[in-house]
Amino acid sequence: MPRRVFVVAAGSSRFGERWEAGQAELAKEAWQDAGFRGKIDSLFVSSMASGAFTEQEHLGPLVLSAIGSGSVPSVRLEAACASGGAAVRQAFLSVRSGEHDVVAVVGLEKMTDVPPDEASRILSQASLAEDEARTGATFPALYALMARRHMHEFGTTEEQLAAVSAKNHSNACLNDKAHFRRTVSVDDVMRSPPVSDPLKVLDCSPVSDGAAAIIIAEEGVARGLSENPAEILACEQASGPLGLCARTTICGIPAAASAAKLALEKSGAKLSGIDLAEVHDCFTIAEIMALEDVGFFPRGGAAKATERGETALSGSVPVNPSGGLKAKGHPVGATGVSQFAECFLQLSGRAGKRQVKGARTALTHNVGGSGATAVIGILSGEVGRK
Amino acid sequence: MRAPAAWRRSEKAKRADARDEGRIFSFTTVRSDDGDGGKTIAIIELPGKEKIISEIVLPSGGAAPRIGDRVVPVCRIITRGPPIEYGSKWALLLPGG
Repeated sequence: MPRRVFVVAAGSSRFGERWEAGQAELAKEAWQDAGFRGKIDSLFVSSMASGAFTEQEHLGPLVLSAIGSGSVPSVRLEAACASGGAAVRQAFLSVRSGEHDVVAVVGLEKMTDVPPDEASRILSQASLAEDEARTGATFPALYALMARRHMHEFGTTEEQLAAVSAKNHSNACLNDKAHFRRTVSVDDVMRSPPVSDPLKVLDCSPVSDGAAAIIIAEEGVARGLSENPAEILACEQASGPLGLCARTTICGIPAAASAAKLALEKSGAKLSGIDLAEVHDCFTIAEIMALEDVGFFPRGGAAKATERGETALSGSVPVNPSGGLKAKGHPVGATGVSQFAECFLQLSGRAGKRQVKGARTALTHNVGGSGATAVIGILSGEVGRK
Repeated sequence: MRAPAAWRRSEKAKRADARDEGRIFSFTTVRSDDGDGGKTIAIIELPGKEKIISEIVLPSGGAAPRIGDRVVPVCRIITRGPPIEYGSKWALLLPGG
């Protein structure tokens, strides 16, 4: 019988331009922030492109040494920007199956050692290289194509997209690990330089350095390791065509919708019972599509709901209380792990000024590339029930 | 890009049909750092075929594209010969063009 799986500790490095820190230092910082002193049975490391960004591959043992966890099995896993979520899922499965009792996941990316145009070229390798990347369709361009179509079909406006950015920057001001801790207004976003229209600079997540760590354990062990563990009720993954042109729609990400449906079914959770969500807002349109793919709002409804403040920290469905990729930052391999870390903090009542009051159930939504990979997690805590 | 990928693209070009005509499904203009206005990229619907992604050449004078606009391969306009660079450049068809 599958075992119940719990997050017992989580931490994060500060995200941002961390020129003074290498990958090992970032991993160690996240690990120390988690404050975990126990032994682990194995380690999963998530990183999208460490070789291209830093000329360092073979991250498993590098990170294992940095966190001082001996000689247990360690392996690096890649699924573009969903590397973190995919690594958490593998760790979840290894504990759930009974193979291991305690497993760590460290996600990291060191992106700012290369110039921005080189970072863009490296990231483009996660798109359909021969058709999309060679045409010059960078990731901002691919998401701009989605945004334009979404605007055409549902009347979504650039101001509504800008409201996503303003909301996530506001949340990041409450997160001392965030890349950007400053507010931006809808007007600021609208006046920022165009990148790939209709997306502007302040519609886009930054290139960041950073790491995040979580430690998960089976139920019996978890109770001894943490006073307030958060159960991972489900962690589901789905895939879709790599290129946009082969998709049934570009107004959403079908793989995310599939993974969300599975996760909700397997967890037994209801959307109405989700108290907060950490979603993959690599671009503002991505958050809108995420909320519609998961089902929080009908197609065409998420932008209006965002504009009305329903996804704000005080709204009916707080989305990206951490600041999201947009403002907390997006070190791609760390992102999916960081989402779980934020949910753990929220569910254990330790999210400080950005704490969602009474949070009991949380959802993570992590996407790779333009949506060919998607991982959805659903977690449940006990603090909010007390 | 290494030679095998370039070879595959050229083979793809040979299979193209200059008579193709499509419509813009979505588009964006990617701004360049050097301020040259950037390039316009579109997803193009082709009747009976899978959509393609391609650069769009806009008419001089700055007519902005719209979703649903008709486009044809650049080679059809320039050479009326066999298509070259299929999928890399298409042109917005002007009224009466």
